[in-house]
Amino acid sequence: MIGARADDYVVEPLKSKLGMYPLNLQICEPLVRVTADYQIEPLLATRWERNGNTWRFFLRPGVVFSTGQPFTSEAIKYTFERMVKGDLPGTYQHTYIGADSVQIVDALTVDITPQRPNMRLLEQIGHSNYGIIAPGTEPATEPIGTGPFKLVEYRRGEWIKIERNEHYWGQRPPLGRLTFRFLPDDTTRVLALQAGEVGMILDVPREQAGTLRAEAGTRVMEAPVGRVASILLNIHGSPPFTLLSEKNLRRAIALAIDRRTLIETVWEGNGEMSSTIGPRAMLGDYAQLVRGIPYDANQAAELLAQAGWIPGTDGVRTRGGRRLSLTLIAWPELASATLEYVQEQLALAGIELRIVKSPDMASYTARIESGEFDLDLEAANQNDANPIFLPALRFYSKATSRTVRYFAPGSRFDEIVEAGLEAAARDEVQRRSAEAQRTLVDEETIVIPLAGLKRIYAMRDNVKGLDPHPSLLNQRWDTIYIQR
Amino acid sequence: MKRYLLVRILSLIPLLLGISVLAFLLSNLAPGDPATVIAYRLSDAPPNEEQIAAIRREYHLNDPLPVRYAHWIASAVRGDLGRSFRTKEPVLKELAWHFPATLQIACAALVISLAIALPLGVLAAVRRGSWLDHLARITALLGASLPSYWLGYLLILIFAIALGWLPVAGREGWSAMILPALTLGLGTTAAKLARLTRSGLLEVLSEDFIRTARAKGLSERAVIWRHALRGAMIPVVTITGIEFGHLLGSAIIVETIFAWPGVGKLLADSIYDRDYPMIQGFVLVMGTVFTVLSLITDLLYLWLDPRIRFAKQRQ
Amino acid sequence: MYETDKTIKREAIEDSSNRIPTTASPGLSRRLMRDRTALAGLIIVVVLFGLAILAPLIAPHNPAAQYPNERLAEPSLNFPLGTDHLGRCLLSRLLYGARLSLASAGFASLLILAIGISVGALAGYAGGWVDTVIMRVVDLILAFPLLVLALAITGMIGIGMTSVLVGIVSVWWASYARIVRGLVLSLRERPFIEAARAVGVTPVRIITRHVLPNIIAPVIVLATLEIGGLILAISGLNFLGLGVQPPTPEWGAMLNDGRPFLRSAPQLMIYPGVIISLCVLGFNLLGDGLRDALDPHLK
Repeated sequence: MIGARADDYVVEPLKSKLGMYPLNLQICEPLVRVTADYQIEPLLATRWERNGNTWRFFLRPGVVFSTGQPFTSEAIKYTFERMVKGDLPGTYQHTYIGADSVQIVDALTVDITPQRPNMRLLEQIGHSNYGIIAPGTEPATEPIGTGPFKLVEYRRGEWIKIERNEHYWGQRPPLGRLTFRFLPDDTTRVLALQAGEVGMILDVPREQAGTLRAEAGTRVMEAPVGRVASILLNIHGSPPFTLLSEKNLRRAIALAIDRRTLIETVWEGNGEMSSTIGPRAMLGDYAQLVRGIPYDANQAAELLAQAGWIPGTDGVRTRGGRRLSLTLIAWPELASATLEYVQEQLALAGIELRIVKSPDMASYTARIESGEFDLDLEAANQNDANPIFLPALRFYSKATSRTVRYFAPGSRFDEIVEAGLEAAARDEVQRRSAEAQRTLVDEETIVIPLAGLKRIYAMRDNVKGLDPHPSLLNQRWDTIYIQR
Repeated sequence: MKRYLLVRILSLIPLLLGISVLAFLLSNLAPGDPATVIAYRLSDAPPNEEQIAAIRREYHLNDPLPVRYAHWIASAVRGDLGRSFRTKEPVLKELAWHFPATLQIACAALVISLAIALPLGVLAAVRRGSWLDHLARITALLGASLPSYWLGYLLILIFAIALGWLPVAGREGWSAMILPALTLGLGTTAAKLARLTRSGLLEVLSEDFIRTARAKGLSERAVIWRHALRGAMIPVVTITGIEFGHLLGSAIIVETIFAWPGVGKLLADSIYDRDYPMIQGFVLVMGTVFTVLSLITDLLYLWLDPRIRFAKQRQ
Repeated sequence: MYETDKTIKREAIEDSSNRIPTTASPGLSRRLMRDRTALAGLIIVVVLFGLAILAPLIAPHNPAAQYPNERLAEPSLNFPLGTDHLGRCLLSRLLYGARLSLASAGFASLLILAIGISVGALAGYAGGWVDTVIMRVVDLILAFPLLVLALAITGMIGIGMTSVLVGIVSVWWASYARIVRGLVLSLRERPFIEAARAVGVTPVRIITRHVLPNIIAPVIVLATLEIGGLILAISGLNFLGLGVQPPTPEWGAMLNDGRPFLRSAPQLMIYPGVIISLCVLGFNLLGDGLRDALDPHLK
């Protein structure tokens, strides 16, 4: 029995991704798989070729669905057409796959032609959203896939049970049955493990990892960094959120935050220093291009003084009668402790930080889209293998995101991103992504990476075989076994 | 009597209407955009304008307020309260599905409350003025002073972690309901009922017919159990009905702590997700439930009282 | 026991369960002093108020000051109650939290009383359709468990201490209004009120000079009894994350912050819980004692 977070499954027909997203139970498999170091490896497709904008995938022979139905290119067509029909916002749009993008060549060969040139298609379709479902089925009621597991029972808000798929083409999973219980409250989840009610838990909160490590009978495992908690700065704000258009102020903020202490104390060591905005592994060798800004409180003070910000009587700096007061908003799931730490660090530098906590994504989204903020703390997920995913998504001025207008660096940056999107070789993409991130972090200080977050799993000593993956969506459960 | 009944039932209608308006207005006067949150929940990447507009169309979020209210109330009367933004399940179905869980712990909590309050109240009344009375009073007050969210975690710490007797959370197995029910039951309800029992019993004990019974030579125990208690129970019974309604409401925090899948947790989650149809539906349905509950307690009281009065006269 | 000139209603039971005597018997303060539990309550309340007022003088640290390298520390001379997960002094936070909790509960109480008394007096005195309309609204609000409605309102408006207070005040006044109305109704038929009316005193004057002074005592008792519940509600909403913003210390919010450390550092949850309970208990004991002192026949 595994303790998971909240039940976020959507069960509406055509839109449903039960068992696939946001908790991927390997009921369905996509064409390719994203490994723990963000490489692509064959899964349902054994090899592929690209001709211009058309990608040809050669499917694995001898695969059947959990019902015994043979797996053919029909399934690919069905899966993608359903996605377009369900008009699922955002999931497939950036792949530019349209209603007739999928062409069947023969039973085991299929062509996918996005409606616009898309060099990153291969990296994108490793995402669990593109898990292949059996033709004619509707995942809302019955997800049928080719994966190592199949669905047994789903009870909303309580649990989802899966069992071994006897027709699986690959290695037989050791465990016959798995139950994922939904325990949204962090503390409850940890208590459940400690009380022995579950064998393993996902998403161990950072503050409790230490306790669990020290406890006899439990073991804690970490995945490599999968996302980076970062502060995004609003450089194109309207009054009164205009202060951060000054680069020196932005730099001073970056200098004023002691990240190492944050990781070592507040996070109890469960984090990693990061200069990049996404997992370092995504950039390969080019990660070193992004240096990051070190912690130097004195330099921060100097910069601020040079810019004319003089400390006032209550410690907050002022300039020409205006208080140096900034507003911070944050993703609801990020712990308040982190926000308060940043607040205090800035207070020591003479900057007053007003924290606006959002109880839910709706108010957070409203806030960030309206531009009523200076600083934005978030931790975007990297779930596919596309190295330029994050820069293209949030900072490329032609992106469809509604918040790009506050963060976009400008045309020179855009050119770098476009080069990355159009590059054919992965090496080239990584280089462009690194260059883009260097602009964001080192040169313009639009993003201040705080620390890399590692997913933490905790389990009882007799639960073995887990290979933690930085992205929860790509986590494999079929290697877990229980030692007697 | 029948006329009173009719009047009471008829007066329910404007009340229920008021509840529906309240429910509707409540969830619509909030800032934030539900279309955006749904779009976010359905994808990895921040959605764009078109997607959000499409969602707005699909959920009719563009129509003016009175129109939406009219639609909503019309379908509500037919039993259709719309679909949850979050889960796409019919609201009524979700409520019905979650209600038994809340009912379960509320009933258990009520039993626990009564089991504590009645003996405590009787003891306090009978040994009035003594240290036992004081102790009983303070115990009851103590229970009412502890925050439920604190008591809940305390109980978890003791019974689930330290002793390992009971499960930490969730609803698996019959033992899972003990801690939530205890947390609910040890609160204000027990205190109120204890106080009511005590004062009610004291009042009845000072009445004439009790003196007569005592003069007749009946033992003190018989006096209390056979005659006094019956009279004292009336207010207790009626308040129990109301307190039950309040228990259903206080369950919200307890359910969150124990991951208990009841309507309280449903409401908390819905507020968190700006799930308008669910919030509206919850307020409407629960408001109706409580109103009906009050009606029943009124009638219960009415039914009980003449009987007692009648019995008293016979004595 | 039951009002015979009205149709038998549940209200009568509710009012009798919350029954506040309308007149004060002589020797009130003497009786209060002799009631030891009430005295204990009084002492608790006074001490807490004292601590709250003196907080800036006696708190060893700034409640927002973080010492991350000394987080979750055991009690010491520097930090008498230890530190929290960010290295802030727990004692200082509890003391400043007292200010916030008592001030906000007091302020909310005043607002609730003001609204409740005005509306209740108006309904009770005016009678007729005014009474009916007002009581309908009151019934509507009281049709819900108060916390649920307050939660819904606060959750809707947006988070912050102001929203919490708005949510609570807009719901809590209703039960006061109901009781005040009952009290005013029973007073209205009294000879001296009739006399005043006959003489031609304006209704406003009657209410302010004659009615209010007679109900003020029971209402104060009620307020004292209710303030405990108010503190619980305010800290409850803060516990759910709907109230104060960091770094402001508040008892309920502190309880919430301490949840992840239930096993590793339970004191983070125990201290705020204890002080909330103590505070509420103090008010409850005091209120109970006041009620009994007001009319010893009830005892």
